[in-house]
Amino acid sequence: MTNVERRLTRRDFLKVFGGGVAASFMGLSSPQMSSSGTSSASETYAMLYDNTKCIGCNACVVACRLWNGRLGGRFPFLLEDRIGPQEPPEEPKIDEHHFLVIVPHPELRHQDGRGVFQRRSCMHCVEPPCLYVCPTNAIYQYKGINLTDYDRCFGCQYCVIACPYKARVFYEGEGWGVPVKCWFCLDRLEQGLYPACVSVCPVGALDFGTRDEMVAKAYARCDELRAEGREAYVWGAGEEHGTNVIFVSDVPFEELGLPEPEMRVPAPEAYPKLFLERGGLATFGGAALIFLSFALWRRSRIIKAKVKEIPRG
Amino acid sequence: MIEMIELLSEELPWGLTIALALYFGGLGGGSFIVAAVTSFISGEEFRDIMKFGAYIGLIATALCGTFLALHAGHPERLLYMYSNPISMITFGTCVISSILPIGLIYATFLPPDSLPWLKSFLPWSVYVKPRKFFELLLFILGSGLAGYTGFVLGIAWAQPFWETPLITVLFYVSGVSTALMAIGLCIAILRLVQVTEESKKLFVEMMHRLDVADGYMLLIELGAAMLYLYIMFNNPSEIARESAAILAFGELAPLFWGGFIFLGLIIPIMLVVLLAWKGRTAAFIRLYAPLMIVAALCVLIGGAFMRYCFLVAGQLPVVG
Repeated sequence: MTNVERRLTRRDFLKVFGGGVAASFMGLSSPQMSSSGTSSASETYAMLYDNTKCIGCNACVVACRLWNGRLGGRFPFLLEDRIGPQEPPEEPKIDEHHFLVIVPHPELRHQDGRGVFQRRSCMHCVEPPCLYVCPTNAIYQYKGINLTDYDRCFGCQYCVIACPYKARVFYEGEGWGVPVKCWFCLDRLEQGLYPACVSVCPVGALDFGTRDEMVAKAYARCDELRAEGREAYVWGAGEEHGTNVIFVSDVPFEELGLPEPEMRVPAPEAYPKLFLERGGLATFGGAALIFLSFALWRRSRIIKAKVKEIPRG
Repeated sequence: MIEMIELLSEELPWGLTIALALYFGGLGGGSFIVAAVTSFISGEEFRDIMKFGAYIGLIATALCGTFLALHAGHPERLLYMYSNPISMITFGTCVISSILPIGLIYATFLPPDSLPWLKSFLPWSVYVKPRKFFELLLFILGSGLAGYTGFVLGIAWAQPFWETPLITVLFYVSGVSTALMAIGLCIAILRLVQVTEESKKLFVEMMHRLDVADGYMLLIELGAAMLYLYIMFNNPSEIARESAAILAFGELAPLFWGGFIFLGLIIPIMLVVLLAWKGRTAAFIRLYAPLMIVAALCVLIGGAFMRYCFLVAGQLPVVG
């Protein structure tokens, strides 16, 4: 991880202090992960987002910004001089200041009549395309979290292009740039704390733990919703092509702009297969053949012309 | 138009610099392909085509690498780019870094006639067989580079507009086409300064070969571009259909229809057909070189518009 070294000025100190006070008021550091949530190395972390509970308060967004924007942290550059309230964007969009957004869907209603909101962030794909396309191997997985080694990143933005969820954004500093995104607040996990967004959710729409636990909770919640006579859908829970951010909703995910993960996330072997199966090599060879056949055709014409020039005895 | 280009690519991960890198990659790879194929077909008859192929190939490949580095957030970490063998960018980096030294060695076999003293430093330049070996190598690497410019987009799964093998056909053929015309441009300019009748005749013959070959390439390119649009308008993905609409009727329509189809394909097709048909007749022979220059410039500009349009169209619906 990149640690941008900056000299701590009086102004910086006030920012850190202010951010820390705000964070403590929001309880960012209070809830501890349960012992079952602290997974062993072989386990995979996952997050559960239940949009039937989400009230769109954006506490998670603010918490994410505060935690990840703190000076001296892993992302010291995020907030820079812009700590404090800002004009909310017209349409919430993931950018260098927002690793996660809550997108309102005013055109939709839950079956109990409430408005619909949907979390958007890095989905921490089980088989992440960003990892396969990265030429420098800067992207890696750790306990199901897709992380970036900013000391290796070349800044080509191929991961930004390849991300099916547009969760990676390129942050440009002075003469450098790296793609940034949600990292499940790994520094908090290492201290036994929940990610910032989970720790502040006032209605329990977010949960965090091992993937098995979260999948089980997602299906259990579905059973609850169905028992209430509501529809229920789970997204991202599949073992293959799944994601480590799992969604529960009573609105079909297609209506929320989230197609089936299978359609968008390729299997690990897909890259070389794609090269062959999608006609890549065939096309390549075909194009070369077109050129060569043209060359041979020209050659035969030249030979024919030369044969004609030979005087007949 | 420049403002429009800047505005369109402002928010995109891959904008103008990557479009130029892909353009020069295609041109570089195509130039080596043309040089190699010319050598295999014509022997030593059209040595100037090989020379310009080698020189343009080297310069364009270097420019491709330069634009890729300019785009990067941390260009100083170039050595890490060889780390992931399944990444298309790693493949491209390997091809570029192989082409540059091999192309340079190849170019030493073809020193310019205007620098006769150079030949004494390059005694191996008279040998043909070792040069043929480098030509074969550069044909493969050149095909790799020209194809890479399309594959690098075609394998980015998240952009349905690029998910077709046609993108490789289009970029590959465009690379060869721009290379033919870049070499044609140099030959046409040199034709204007030739003094002897014999050399004038040879230069016209070279231009003729290049423009006939480019005529075929342009027709394939036009067909591929139209088929591409048709496939994308009928694609199950809404994003792909939206991209096609942006390209054909939206913000990119002036660049696509005006810059690529009309300027880069229709005008040069008309010119190369005219030149191939009437170019060597007494009435047209004087106009051959000037018309070839016009056709070449149109193809070169159109090729750049094509790369830009397809690159931006694939990303716009997601950003917007």
